[in-house]
Amino acid sequence: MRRLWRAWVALWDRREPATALALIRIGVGLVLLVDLVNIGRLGLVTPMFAAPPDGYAVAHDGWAAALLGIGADAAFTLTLAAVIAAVCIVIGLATRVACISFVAISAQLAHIAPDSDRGIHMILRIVLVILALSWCHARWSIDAAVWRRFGRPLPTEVPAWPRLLILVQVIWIYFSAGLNKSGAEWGPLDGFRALSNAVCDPHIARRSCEWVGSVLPLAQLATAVSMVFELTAPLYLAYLYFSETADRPGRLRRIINALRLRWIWLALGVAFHVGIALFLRLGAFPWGMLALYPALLLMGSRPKSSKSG
Amino acid sequence: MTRRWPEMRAGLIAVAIVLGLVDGCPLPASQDVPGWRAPIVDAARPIQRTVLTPFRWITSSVRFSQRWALFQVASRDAHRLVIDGRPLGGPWQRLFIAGDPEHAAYAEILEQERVRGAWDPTDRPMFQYNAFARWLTGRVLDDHPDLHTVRMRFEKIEITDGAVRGTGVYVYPFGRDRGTR
Repeated sequence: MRRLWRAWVALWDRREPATALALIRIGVGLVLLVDLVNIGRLGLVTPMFAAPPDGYAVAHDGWAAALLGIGADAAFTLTLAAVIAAVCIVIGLATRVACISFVAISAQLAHIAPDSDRGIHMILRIVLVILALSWCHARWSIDAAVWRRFGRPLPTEVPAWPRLLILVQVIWIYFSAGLNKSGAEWGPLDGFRALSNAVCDPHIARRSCEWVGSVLPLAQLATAVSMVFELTAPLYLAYLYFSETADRPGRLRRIINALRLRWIWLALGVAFHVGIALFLRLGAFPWGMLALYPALLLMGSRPKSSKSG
Repeated sequence: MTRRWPEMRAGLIAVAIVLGLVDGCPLPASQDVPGWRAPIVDAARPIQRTVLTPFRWITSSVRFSQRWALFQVASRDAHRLVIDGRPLGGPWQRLFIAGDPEHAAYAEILEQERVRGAWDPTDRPMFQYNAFARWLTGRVLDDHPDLHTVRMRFEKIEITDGAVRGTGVYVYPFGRDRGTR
């Protein structure tokens, strides 16, 4: 038990280059920025985030209402503040403050427009809290440049635990999503027709779906594969472990590494999200999830004690 | 403090992961549980509630949960939004029908993912549907001075292997005449 605890402590005490966390920060910031700019471009800021008669939002009794009210001006101010925070996250300016500010504003917007707060917005709020506690600004950021200028450069190797926590979060999201897909169309009872149904749903389909009939077996296979992908997500942690300890003996390790299951699972994930982006209008969801994929890679993290220099 | 920090951090992370798993545990609604599983679910639910109660303020203020139901419903029975308008005493004119490029007024707004969240029904209308419908019909009347009445409703449709068939059954109607609120 004590050995297990020591291994657990060592796992979360690892160090690695800040590359993955910086990539996630930039990707997440860009996805959120595009999401907000798109709302502004369509003239939806007031309708979505102002209470009637200006819009269709909920008159939520939160700090934003106490400070700014519930009308069009409040909607504009909150959205503008969120845009500024998202820009700061992308360029890495006052990164930690920007992450927390965005979470606070986004949570208010979620209360104000609950039906417009999609799963991906919840996911990215969680990720931003983790990023705020990380050194994601140690690379490719204005913060890093400023500290370097003052002769106190940010560390090149940073704690890996925030990335590992995002990795666990992503794995859980897929697994939980798989568990909650209880409709018959996701399984053999309705012939794995979920994806062929989805690409025909006029509310989300990006194009006409007359072609689906001719490739139905392919669509059914894609449904089955996406269920396997989600329900086997926890195995990815084992694939990562076997990949990192490839020099150790063991037949299972050797077979899994030889079959490159880690890369197959990752490729399925990318294909899954690119497919969604091509065929369905699900907004920021596919891009927001792909922005988290750097967390899924082995980043050469290693125990703190073996850190050189 | 510094020497013990890695252990404290590992402990905090373990607690966070366990709480996340408890929160994300997919306990179905009582009426959806088949016979033999009902006692297990009934026993687990109060435990889940008790464990999470001290932390509920975090999930409610940041508004998240660890129970992910992404892209859950892809049933063959779906809906199709239809918006019509008519001048006083005149015939209905089709303004929008989901998935029909011939009737695509307001499509850019309606098809925006976050806007869709306010009107796209599941097995019931969305929480913000009435407020959204009131706003949208008001906007349509403002944009079309010739119209006196606007209505929104959903046709029930069936999707079968690449073919979408309307049933002629309409649900969740919302209508508005000019000059009314």
